Amino acid sequence: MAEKHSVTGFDEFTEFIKNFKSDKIVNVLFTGEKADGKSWCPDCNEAEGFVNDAIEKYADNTVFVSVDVGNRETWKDLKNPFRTDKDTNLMVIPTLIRWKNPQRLEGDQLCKPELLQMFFTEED
Amino acid sequence: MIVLNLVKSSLLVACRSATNQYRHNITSNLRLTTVRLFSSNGESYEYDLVVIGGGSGGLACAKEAVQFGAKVAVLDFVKPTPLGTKWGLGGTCVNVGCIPKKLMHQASLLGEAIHDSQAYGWEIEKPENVKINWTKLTESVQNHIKSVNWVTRVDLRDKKVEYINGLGYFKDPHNVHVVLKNKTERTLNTKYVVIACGGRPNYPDIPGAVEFGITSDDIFSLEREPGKTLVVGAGYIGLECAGFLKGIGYDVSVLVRSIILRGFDQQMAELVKASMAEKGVEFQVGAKPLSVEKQDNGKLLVKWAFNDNPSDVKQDVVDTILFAIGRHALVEDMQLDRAGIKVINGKIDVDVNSKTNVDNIYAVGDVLYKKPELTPVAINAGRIIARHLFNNSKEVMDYEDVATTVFSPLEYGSVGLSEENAISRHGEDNIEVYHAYYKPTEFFVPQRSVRYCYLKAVALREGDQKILGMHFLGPAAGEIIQGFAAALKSGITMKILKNTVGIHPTVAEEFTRLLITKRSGVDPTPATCCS
Repeated sequence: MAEKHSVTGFDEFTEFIKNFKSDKIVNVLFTGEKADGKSWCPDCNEAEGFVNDAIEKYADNTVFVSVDVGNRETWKDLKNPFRTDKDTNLMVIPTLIRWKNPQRLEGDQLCKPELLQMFFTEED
Repeated sequence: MIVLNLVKSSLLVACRSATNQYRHNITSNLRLTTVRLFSSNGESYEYDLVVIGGGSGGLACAKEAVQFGAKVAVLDFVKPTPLGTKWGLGGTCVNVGCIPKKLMHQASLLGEAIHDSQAYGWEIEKPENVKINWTKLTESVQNHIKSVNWVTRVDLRDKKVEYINGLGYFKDPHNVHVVLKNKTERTLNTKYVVIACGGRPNYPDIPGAVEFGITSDDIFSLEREPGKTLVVGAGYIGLECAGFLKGIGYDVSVLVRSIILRGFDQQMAELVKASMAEKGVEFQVGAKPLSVEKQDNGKLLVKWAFNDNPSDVKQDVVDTILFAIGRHALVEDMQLDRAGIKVINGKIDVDVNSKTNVDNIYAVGDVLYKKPELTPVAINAGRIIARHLFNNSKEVMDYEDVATTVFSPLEYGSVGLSEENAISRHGEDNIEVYHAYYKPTEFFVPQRSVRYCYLKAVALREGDQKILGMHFLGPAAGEIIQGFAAALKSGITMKILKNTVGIHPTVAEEFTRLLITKRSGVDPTPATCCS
């Protein structure tokens, strides 16, 4: 079982991640805000099933943080801190990052089971 | 092969609306069953292609081959350096070559720029406090490299190229054995093999070299500050390392066995050396190291002597000794004799199709005998091999007039023949060399030395004067020479060059202003610009 957390917005995320201490690998998914279970971001919706499947299969003993980056207008703003912050450096959503590590999948890469498997299972 | 291609493409379509059935069937390599592939003579192989080496040449070849439906595996393995340094997928260029080198060169140029900026009005509170944080530099460089390693692995997986992190060797021409990191073993049965194992730095056979010395394999991730450094070797690797270490702020000297930049135009090589000496790099020419010892205070005592006076032993105390005395191809590990592959001077010779003496085995990259050891060369040749093997292409790799750049502090870019090669090929009377010193506009304000800003074009003397070689010493030399490389390939002549209007103010335009020949004896130093 993966340890799951959910945060909303940049400030809540930075506060959370700054204080979060764990020996386990921390993976973070950045995705668009949801209303009634579905996000305004179609790519995020499409990826959700694949990512959840991969977490079920491969993400035991890791930490999974789901971050809601906001609504469409907030995301489209080029000054959005998720875009400008050098640790997140988001160019697209959905983005899946191994926190403070090079492993990263973006956009439709999150719909590819073999890439998700690689992300969650392969060591350096 | 065609059968597998259709199976693969229909599966890729199905993937987007993945079902449980798909997930159960898929192994990490998209092999539903062991599909046997049939070649034209009825023999079947597990793989179409096994590539030994996941560097510039190997990866380019593998990725091109899968585009034509080939089933490909790439083997990559890095034996740690004596210091323990190792790295991920991508080969020398990505990990311990071109990429980190260029980043460190940039770091050193930025240091210079910070100082120059004051003349342009930037107010820096305490200029004497501007200094490098070596840890931050190596961290930034290594972070970039690791992200390239990752993107490379994603790319291979996405393109369905199987990546095996293991050391491969031949059992016979069609069977490559791999020993993986976790000690498990496999034999890959394959129709074709491409050897792309690359090379590694040499250590001299002197006491203490391996125990206390480092090479380019180590410098880009060195956990301690290099400090006062002695670089042994004056090929481009030695000079580039010496150059950026000096620019970053360390005390640097270079031991040169005989000449600088062997194989390059020697007039330009001497100018590179002079420009580096002007920046404070000390050169000892005609010398070699004798031994390295570690002192109690942790520093290294290096003993060396001039070749013409070997009994007069000199010594230096340094923090780091970096050997850049040459590289050897990794032919030893692959048991090439079991495949019948011939080795010449530790390298592999190939025909115009990059084929070795064994019909199903090809080679690419730094492992090749007498071919330029450059990433773009390996990439181009690797792709051509794939097209030849899997797409019936008749293309042949063109090794002529490959442009290069030495990223010394003042860079040296060149394409085509050196002056001495042009003379030996055509005779001095049949060659005309146009040359000039120039002064980059931006250098005036901070009063940067223009003493070694120089360029020349080597051409045939008669007719429109076809250009055989172009050489440029100055800022951004690589950017400048690249376009001229295409021009040279198109047959540019001095007539065309003289009729080309320059872009002003640039340094590249100096090529269009070339008028003075060496033969005329006229002073090639400019009076002013713009006239």
